[in-house]
Amino acid sequence: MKLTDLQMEKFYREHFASLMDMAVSQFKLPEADAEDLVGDILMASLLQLPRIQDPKIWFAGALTMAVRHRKGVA
Amino acid sequence: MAVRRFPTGLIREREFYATLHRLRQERATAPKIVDHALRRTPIDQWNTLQERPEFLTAGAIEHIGKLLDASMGRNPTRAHALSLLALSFAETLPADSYPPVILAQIRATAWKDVGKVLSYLARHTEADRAFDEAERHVEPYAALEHDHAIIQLNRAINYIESNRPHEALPILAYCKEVFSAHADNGLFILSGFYEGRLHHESHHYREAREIYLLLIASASNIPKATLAALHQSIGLCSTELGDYAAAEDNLRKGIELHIELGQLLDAVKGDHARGMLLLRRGYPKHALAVLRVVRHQYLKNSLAEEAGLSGLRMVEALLTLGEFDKADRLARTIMSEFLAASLSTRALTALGYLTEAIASQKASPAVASHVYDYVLSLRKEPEREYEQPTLPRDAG
Repeated sequence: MKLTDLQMEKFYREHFASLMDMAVSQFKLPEADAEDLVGDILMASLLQLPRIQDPKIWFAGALTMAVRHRKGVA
Repeated sequence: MAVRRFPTGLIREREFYATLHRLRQERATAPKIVDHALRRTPIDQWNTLQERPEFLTAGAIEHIGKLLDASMGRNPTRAHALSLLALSFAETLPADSYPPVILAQIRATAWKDVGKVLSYLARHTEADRAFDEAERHVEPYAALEHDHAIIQLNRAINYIESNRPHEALPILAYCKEVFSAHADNGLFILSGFYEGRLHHESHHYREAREIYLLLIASASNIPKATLAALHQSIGLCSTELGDYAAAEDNLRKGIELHIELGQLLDAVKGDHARGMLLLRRGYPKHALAVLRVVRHQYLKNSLAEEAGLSGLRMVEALLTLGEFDKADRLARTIMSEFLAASLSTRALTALGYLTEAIASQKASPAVASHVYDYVLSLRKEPEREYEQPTLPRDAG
């Protein structure tokens, strides 16, 4: 997945917003915790880019798995 | 539902872009620097590269990881050296050099790769410890479930290779869940492949083959390396099931793919399986020709155990052809190789029985096959005692 700088900016902001919405509305995470988690998920993707086929599904999956499998998140 | 707007966390956003730019730069420059240095530095002096700051980057470590993956199927010794090199750089990175989650990923991946190579070299206990270290790095970060699943997949493979199938099964189920959630088709299929391997290792060849065939039929965009492994495994199962046409076809496809990918040692393993197939089909001369090349390749790559195993198949073929002197000489050569490589004393005992049987003209191809199966079993049951084969009574 190769994007220009402008595309990356749009990429970050769009996915940040939708993930935050999912984290707070669907998983009921406190906003501060959600922001930390979403920030980490997006940051981690920088090393995962070659594996990402569909960013929307990837990030939603990362958030779901984080909530489902990790203590102290939900 | 409209997406609500939140403050974007400007600090994290700026950190994201800064890291992105930095990684892009490193990825552009690291390969040339790393390749040049590795070419000019003898492998036993790679530890001196630690003093060079241009190697202490995520880009350099990532590139070494790619070189390692390329070496795995061709030169496991080099792959091992590369894994240790990457680990030394990863562990030396200053704590503030990258965002904490990125640093955790770099270190976890380096440890995972050490474990992966150790597992490939059949050093299973050490591999397990390396995976423990990898897991320790990702544990604090809920965002790293995918990285965690990759570590666990490698751990499951290690368990399968070291006769711990019951521990592998729940791990594979977890891996499939995580990879499916991320739509990571490649690793989802690989996890499914190893579920098939569990059946395979338990000698449930029909069930294993069905899983493999279903994966090929139901998935698109299977990574070539996984497809090669699938075909090879279908070939092995088909051999055991007596479906020799399917065995030949799938082994050939697996070998072709491995060669295409430059995975020459894996292609040699495919030829090893072809040699066994030819023996089963009653073509000992053809089997010998194939296995001779296989054995030479294993010896060239210092894989003494694999060379011994392919040699035992050759002994079986020679006994089938009535060439007892050659069989005797080869069996004794294999014993010397095992001794020199400090391999299992139990394997040496079994080989001793074989050479005695050949010398006293009591050896048959079945005895050689029995010793082969025993030596192979020692990988998973190193304390297993050798039992003489039960041979048919003389009817006369």
